[in-house]
Amino acid sequence: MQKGDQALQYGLNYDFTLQGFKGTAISYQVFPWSNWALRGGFSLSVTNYDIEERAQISDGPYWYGEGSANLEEWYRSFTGRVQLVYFTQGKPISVFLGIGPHLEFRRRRDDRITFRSDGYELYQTRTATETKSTKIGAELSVGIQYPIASRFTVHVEYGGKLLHESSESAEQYWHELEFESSYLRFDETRAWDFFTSPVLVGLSVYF
Amino acid sequence: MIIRSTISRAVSFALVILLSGWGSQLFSLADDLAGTNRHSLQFRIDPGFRLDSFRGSLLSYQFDLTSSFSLRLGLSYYQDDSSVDLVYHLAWDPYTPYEFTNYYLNRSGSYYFDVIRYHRDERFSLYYGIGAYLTYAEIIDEDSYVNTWSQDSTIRISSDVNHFSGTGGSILFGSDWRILDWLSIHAEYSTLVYYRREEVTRVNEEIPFDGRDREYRETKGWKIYSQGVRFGVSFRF
Repeated sequence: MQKGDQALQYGLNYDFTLQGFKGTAISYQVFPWSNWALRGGFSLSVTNYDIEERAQISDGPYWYGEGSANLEEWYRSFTGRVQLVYFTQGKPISVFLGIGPHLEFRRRRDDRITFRSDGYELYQTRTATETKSTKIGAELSVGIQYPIASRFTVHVEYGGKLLHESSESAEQYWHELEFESSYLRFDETRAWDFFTSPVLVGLSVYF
Repeated sequence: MIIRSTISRAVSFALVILLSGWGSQLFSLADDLAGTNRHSLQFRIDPGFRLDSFRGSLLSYQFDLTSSFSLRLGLSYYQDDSSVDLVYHLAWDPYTPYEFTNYYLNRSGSYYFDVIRYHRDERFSLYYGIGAYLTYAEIIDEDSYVNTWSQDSTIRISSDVNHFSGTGGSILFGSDWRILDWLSIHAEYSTLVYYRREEVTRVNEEIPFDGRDREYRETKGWKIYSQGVRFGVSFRF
């Protein structure tokens, strides 16, 4: 816990196998000052798809239908956490206390434009949905750390989060011929949540 | 023209590598690994300490180019190829059979190639790297059914064909603990970025009734996702 120490952090499973700790992309800790650390991690998922569909159906020589659709699907998800952590100098066990911001952002959009023809009529429909959710707040952690070897420490911690959640979702359906079935719906939710995290067991590997 | 442009890009890339810190270290390797185990087979450690494939189901192999640089290759391949021919004769009229045939092919492969940079300190090291990723999958399932039992003989054909390909790269960060000269354990975070394309075609036909359904779906796009931690063990030799 000297100035300049750095560590990669992992979550420790019940059977001592490892997993992501504060994020699935990376979880990292650095000591800019003695006994004071900055730690954080993030997870990222981005998807962007363009989908084209075509279908032809015939039921004997007297009926024929066809359709096509263009879809746009995309999804963005980011979770990032940073904490400023203070470690006591107790030996062999030190206590730590950390606080810092927490951000979660998710956005999803599906947009489908469909053309259909049943031999008599040709018409177009469109279905689009979009959801957006943001959680922003602070995370507090209290735990203990035990050095099991010169490069390894194990830490166990309690944690709590105070998050403000805002989510919006919109859905649109439009039918070229049946206007009465077309609609637009919009939902908006806002909430404050405080919840405790399950106890986290982690392993830091210093380098 | 294309060849000249490709050569020019390759030379530029090589110059960047040579001028960077990575390049100078790469070529000053000399014999810093002489007498050590430079090859390793890698396995993933799953919950319960069950060993599984690390970077490819066929092979996950790493070669230490220098004490600081390693190359890793992961290969996966799967193939299931079968065909069925069935002829069914009615007992009272052996000249009028039903015939059924099926062809099924399911094969897939993937390829990872990583370049890894180690910051070693005795038996512990931090490492990071970049990699290339290529994957391909194909599923073909075709049925045909012929009934020549009566004058109203029918033929039904259905086929389901799926092609998938993806290409991209990965970024990884990890730590490695060399417990023994022949054994090390490592845990790495990785993020994959890739472009994918998938085509699905389904056809159902019935002759002579002209019944025919045909569906086609093409998906194109890219994806980035962090894969979490891969916990593994390397046996060095």
